[in-house]
Amino acid sequence: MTENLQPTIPDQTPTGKTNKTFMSSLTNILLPLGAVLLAMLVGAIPIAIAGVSPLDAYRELMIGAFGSKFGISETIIKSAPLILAGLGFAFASRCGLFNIGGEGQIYIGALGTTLVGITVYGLSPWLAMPLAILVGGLFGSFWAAIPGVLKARFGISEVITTIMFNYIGINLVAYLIRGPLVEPPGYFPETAELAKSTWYPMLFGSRIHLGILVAVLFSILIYILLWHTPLGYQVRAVGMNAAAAEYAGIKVKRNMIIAMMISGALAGLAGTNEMLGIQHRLIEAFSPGFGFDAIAVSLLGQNHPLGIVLSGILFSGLRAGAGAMQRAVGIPDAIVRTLQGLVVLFVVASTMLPQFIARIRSFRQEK
Amino acid sequence: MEIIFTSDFLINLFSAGVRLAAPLLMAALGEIIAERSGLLNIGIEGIILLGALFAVFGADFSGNAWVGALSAVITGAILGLIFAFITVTLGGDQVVTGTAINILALGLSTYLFRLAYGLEGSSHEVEFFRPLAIPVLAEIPFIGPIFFRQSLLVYLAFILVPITAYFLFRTMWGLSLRAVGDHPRAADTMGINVTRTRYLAVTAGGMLAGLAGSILTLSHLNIFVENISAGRGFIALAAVVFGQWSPVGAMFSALLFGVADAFQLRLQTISKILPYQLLATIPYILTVLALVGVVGRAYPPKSLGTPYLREGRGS
Repeated sequence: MTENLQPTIPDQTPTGKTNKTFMSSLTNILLPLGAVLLAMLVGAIPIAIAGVSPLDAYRELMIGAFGSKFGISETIIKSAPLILAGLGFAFASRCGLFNIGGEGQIYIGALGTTLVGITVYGLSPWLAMPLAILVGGLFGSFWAAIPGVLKARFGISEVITTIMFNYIGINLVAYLIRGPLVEPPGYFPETAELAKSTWYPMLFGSRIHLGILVAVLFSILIYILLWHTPLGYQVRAVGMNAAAAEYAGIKVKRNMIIAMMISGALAGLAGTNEMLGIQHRLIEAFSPGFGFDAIAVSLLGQNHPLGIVLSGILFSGLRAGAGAMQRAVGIPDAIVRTLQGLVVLFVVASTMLPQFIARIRSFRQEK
Repeated sequence: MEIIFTSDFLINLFSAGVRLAAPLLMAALGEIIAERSGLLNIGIEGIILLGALFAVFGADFSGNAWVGALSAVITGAILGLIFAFITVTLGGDQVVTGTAINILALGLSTYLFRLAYGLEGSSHEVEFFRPLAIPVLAEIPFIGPIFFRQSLLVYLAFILVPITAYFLFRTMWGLSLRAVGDHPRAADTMGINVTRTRYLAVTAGGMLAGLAGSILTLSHLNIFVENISAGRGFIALAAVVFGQWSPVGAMFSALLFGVADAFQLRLQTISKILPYQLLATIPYILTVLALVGVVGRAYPPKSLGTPYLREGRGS
């Protein structure tokens, strides 16, 4: 697998904003919306199979997600890791790489944060928290750098290696929290509690913590990095056409490795978010698959930070509402991941639809 | 450690290795057919998972393991057709489409499973394919118990190796398929229907992946557990590369991964030194090392991953 696999990138040139017509920004909004509606339409079939009215189920889902103060705060809390990991997937995508290893990078990022958190007792929060964030990002970055180097140096498909590193990373964490890092006396597979100085503070007198602001901050930073810096330009140029970028003097391999490292750092920060904001200690299975959900978040958000924030909130709303729906009408919450898969299918299909219709037309005209 | 070198242990190890290799091999053979036509379907992980579930559904409702295997094949065919429509007809990205199928399958299998069998636990035991000793051959010392006391679906996976190889390299259909994968424009010029070839190839690949799923539920365990595929589809993808897109090569890589898996499972029970979680990483680390090992020697079909659009776009 030495070939370049080009991901679907919406119609933009490296120079980006200038040639974006009104029509293309309209389709950038309408296509994802249509994909979500179609996914909900098809998703109604498995709900109906369960003998439940899809309208009732979706109503409970929405009420659970956005219908109460508790629901809204749950939605916001759960959106932070999705946005961060979604940004991670998008960043690699912009460079033409598929980082499917978000889940593993989340676990390794959480590990880095935990290592800081269980050693900095007594340090000022102004130092302890940034340090915990930084090391979490670095660990995630390192975990993505290995597949990145294997891709750049040897042409080994990052698709398979990042997936393998998911399993390796998750198992490594599972081992560490039972072995070297277990909290004495070792009754439970978990580490000691992180120093309070590293915890994200609560906001607005609710359960919402600093994590959502960190996620929004990084969305802005990634937007600036991608569209307003030379590095971002190079990364996108490699993603558009690696051969042309090489010809233009851009170091393709170097950019690929950097893109993977930034991508992994962002996923790692999603792990950091769960440690500092929610769990406050490293445990098993703290991520319900944020790394995979992030792929759907990023694709629905058209690999753009603003889109990712919006689709991150949508998907976290689905996840937050799923519990309420399961209690109210007895629909297993796994329907949410089914919907996510359908959304991605329809996003890919709908992105191709305009070209498909154009092809059919030109075909007819020839005849 | 001397326990490892008794012949009982080795027979047990290799026979489990062959058994664990079978689903990898079946899925890898399907993927070879798809990739030889130019389609990279990483959705086989999800197809295996849904195939495993529908195998249990089929066997459970009919009380017949054959109906279970057939339902798995049909499930795989449907998912293969969906993949073909999005990637061939619409020209959508293959890795993204495959990922979507994986996410969808993980959600849908968990959803349908919980709907059918409740929120907790596993499905009740269904009719399955029992180990079938082949007369005479099963009596050969060492070789017999390893290769010839397996279940029907395991035999089928290995029988499909020469059949797939013959089809790919000795028939006109196989030649057309490889032509489409290497140079779709030239194949098109020669009058080969690229679209139809790719549809057939990836649908066949989906059927074999579905059948691979049925091996997990109707041959290894006779129950379904959530996410039973556990990355086997991805290891099968690696086996295709490691086996350099040849059925025989894929067989040897699947056997390597199968024996490695069987080995780590056995070490877990006898070794207190290396903990379970570290041993469980062995097949995945081996997969990465295997990919590094074939660098510079593995050449994929030339159009792999690229859509073919007749009007002069694409390659």
